[in-house]
Amino acid sequence: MAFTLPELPYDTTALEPYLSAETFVVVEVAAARKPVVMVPVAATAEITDLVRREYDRYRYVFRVGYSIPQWAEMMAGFIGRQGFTRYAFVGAGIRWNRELTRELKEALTRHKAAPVYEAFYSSRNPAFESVAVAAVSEAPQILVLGDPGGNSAEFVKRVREGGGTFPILSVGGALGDARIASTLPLSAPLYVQAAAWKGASEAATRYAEMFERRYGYAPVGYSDTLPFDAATLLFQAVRAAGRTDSDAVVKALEAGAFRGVAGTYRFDASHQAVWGTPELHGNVIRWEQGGARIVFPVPEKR
Amino acid sequence: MTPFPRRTIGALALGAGMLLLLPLAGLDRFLLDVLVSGFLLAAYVGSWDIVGGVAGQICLGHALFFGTATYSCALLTSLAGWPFAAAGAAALLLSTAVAAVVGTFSGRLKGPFIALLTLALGELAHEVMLGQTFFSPRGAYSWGGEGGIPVALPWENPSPWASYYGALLFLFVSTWGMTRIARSKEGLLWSAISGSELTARASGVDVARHKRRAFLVAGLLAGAAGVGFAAHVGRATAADFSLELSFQAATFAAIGGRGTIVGPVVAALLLHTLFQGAGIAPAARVLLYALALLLILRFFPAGVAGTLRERFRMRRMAPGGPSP
Amino acid sequence: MHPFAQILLDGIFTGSTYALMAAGLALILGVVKVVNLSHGAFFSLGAYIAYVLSTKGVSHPAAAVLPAALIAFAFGVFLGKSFINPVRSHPFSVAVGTLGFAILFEQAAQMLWGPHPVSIGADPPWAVASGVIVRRWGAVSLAASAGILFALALFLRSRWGLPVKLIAEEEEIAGSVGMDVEKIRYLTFGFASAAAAVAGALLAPATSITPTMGRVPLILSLIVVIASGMENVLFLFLLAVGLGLWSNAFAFFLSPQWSYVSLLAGICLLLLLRPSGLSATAPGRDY
Repeated sequence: MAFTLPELPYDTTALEPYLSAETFVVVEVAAARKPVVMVPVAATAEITDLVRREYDRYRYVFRVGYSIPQWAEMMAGFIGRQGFTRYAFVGAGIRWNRELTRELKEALTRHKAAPVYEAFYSSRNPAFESVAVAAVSEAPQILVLGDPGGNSAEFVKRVREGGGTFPILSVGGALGDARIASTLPLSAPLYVQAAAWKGASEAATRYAEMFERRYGYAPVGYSDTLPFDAATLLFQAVRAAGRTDSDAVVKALEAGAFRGVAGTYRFDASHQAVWGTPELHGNVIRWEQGGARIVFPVPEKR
Repeated sequence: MTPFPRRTIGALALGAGMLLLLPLAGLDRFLLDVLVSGFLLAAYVGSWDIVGGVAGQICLGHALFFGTATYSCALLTSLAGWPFAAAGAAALLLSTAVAAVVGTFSGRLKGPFIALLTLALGELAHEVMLGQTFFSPRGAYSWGGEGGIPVALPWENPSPWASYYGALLFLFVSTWGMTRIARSKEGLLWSAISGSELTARASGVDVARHKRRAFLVAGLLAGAAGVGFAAHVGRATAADFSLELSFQAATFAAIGGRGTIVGPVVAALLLHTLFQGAGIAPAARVLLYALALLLILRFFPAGVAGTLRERFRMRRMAPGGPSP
Repeated sequence: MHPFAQILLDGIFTGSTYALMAAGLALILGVVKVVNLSHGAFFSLGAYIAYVLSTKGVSHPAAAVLPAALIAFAFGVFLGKSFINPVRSHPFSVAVGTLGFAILFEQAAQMLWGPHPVSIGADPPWAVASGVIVRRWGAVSLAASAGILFALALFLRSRWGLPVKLIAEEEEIAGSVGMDVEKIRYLTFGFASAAAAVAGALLAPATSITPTMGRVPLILSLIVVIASGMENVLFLFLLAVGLGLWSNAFAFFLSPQWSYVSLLAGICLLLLLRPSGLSATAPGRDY
């Protein structure tokens, strides 16, 4: 039903909104009613900007997921490490992808790479063929696919059908799902950027196995891992604060370091988790026959 | 249109009374919130019935008028810095203007093509707002797209009672206004056009002009609901133009009784409150809604109010005789 | 690689997908006199049946065609008998009812297979002729839509098509000469729904399958049907292909993001320039 407000049970201590649009409404609720809000994914800078500009009102909001510049930096690190200088960016025509394109370009300039093709397709009626044909004809060394939805799977099929043999790096989402990836042609590398993956660390492996036992499929990369970590962090913070009073929990979150599946979380002044450190860095995996292999950063041997 | 039977008026008055007293019964804030959005939705659906029911011009893009209002409020307050009252007034003007344009084009078109045109326009607006971003004066991010645009409201933490009674008043006034228009001479002409455009034209009615007027009224009221929504939620999102919202108007109108105004309004309010407010799991909720839709239309083909009205008319025409 | 020729071919393929669904929709609109908003749901049903079969190890989509057709036909007949025929005196309510059925199906699909997209493995293209790639699933949809439309045109011209044509044009006369109008209505609905499901099953490997995948194809095929009128099958096909070509060309040469918008804007423009629809041969129907 379209005419709905998100579920807003007012007497809970914590909320975890997912999509950008509902996040904003929830953030306003948090400002009014003061539960602690842990944003797992919605990556737009607007949220942390609110915290920074009007700290007193929005200090209950924290973001666990990576911000757009952090996302760009993590992917740029991988692309730079491979030594690519020509890349393409294709994504759904949504605001998040537009901002990501910009950030990625900046980050990759530092790694001496430049875009040869940038395009967005409509998310409701995507013109896959045209974009795939155009992308292939520009011959990039790698294509960054910014669409987390189901359309990304279709795009990969089209590109491979159309003879595109360059590797594709996806931001995650549908392409992080093993059930989808197993149906995609692997004639050329398919990489996915994820918050954490089985085998990256003991915590990640334990989480992945527990998830798979419970739900019957492997966790998808960021959309499962980050909300889990968001909830975990909240519990840890409440325990560290010793009480459920929002202000105490906020202080505990600001001061502490918390272990989640993806690593150790610390929050900066605008309540954004600091990604891109040795303790919290995400992974890039590559899909192969029968599963995924972590290619970046290479996991420590224990 | 026949006047409502006394029982119906009594029932409606009772319902209105209950709504007035509900907050005093100590209702939970969440439920009050659900009711506020329910009032706005009901007014929106009622406005659809003006053009789609009374005037018989099926509009499949009604969200166009609603979304124009919410986005106008958002853009004017957040980007241009206007105070909310001025932005709201401008939003009303804009949605009415858009409705005037749609109405003018509909003058020349026949039924299915009006549906097609409004469908295409609604989708167009949705797609444009989804893809279009607006640089925000504050930071390195942009507004628009899937995140929507905030509405700069003059109040910080509005009292839930103020929102509730404000929206309820709006619903009462607009419903009363719509029923009066529907029963006026203008509304009668709309009904005639709805029945048979050819006959109306042959009788000398300027069909195009009256169609446009119907769209104007509908657009104005849908826009008003949009302004209310912008004030309540504080954000305009692309979903305000969505196909789902457009279809919701037509759907609730069908369930309530196309052309009865009160039917769609009550149906929208009841169903919305029931499905949002009662603690049903989201998955089951949609399932139940669809089942309810099918069952109600199966046994009340003209909508609940519409079918009851037909039966009431039948009974009146054959007093003491067998009712069909 | 010849981009221009490639875009042309891909556009024809895309358009034939719209034509596939538009065919069934036109049949229902013409004969059953109903705007069938559940058509997209039947399309998704076919795709999900293909998916279910692929999870059981049967990955050839042709295998999914028969089960999809049968299941969709059964559902279509059920819907026709239980809802559409009884409520036919109120066509608007019937249309909204079909929407209700679509929502029901989408929700059921979500509960059965999850809201996340699922996918079937796609095979490589059939042919690469002088730098132009002939996509397997594009060719399939072209062949299927041309085939179905051709079969439909033949059927309507044949002896068995006569009752259907009569019902489409003069329903009261059909009833008074003793035809079982009700039965033909629900059978037609069943067949058209089966056609939509077959389309979904055939195209499933090319797309990602989600519960709401049928929505946009429904809108586009609705646009095609209403704009072209239901009289001329060839015109319907041409319009559908034209839309596909336009969409692809616009996306390639101008802007992929706004290709859908341009399509919609084009439709609006067409309606304003030709208010009585596009088909020059459409008789002036007083709707």
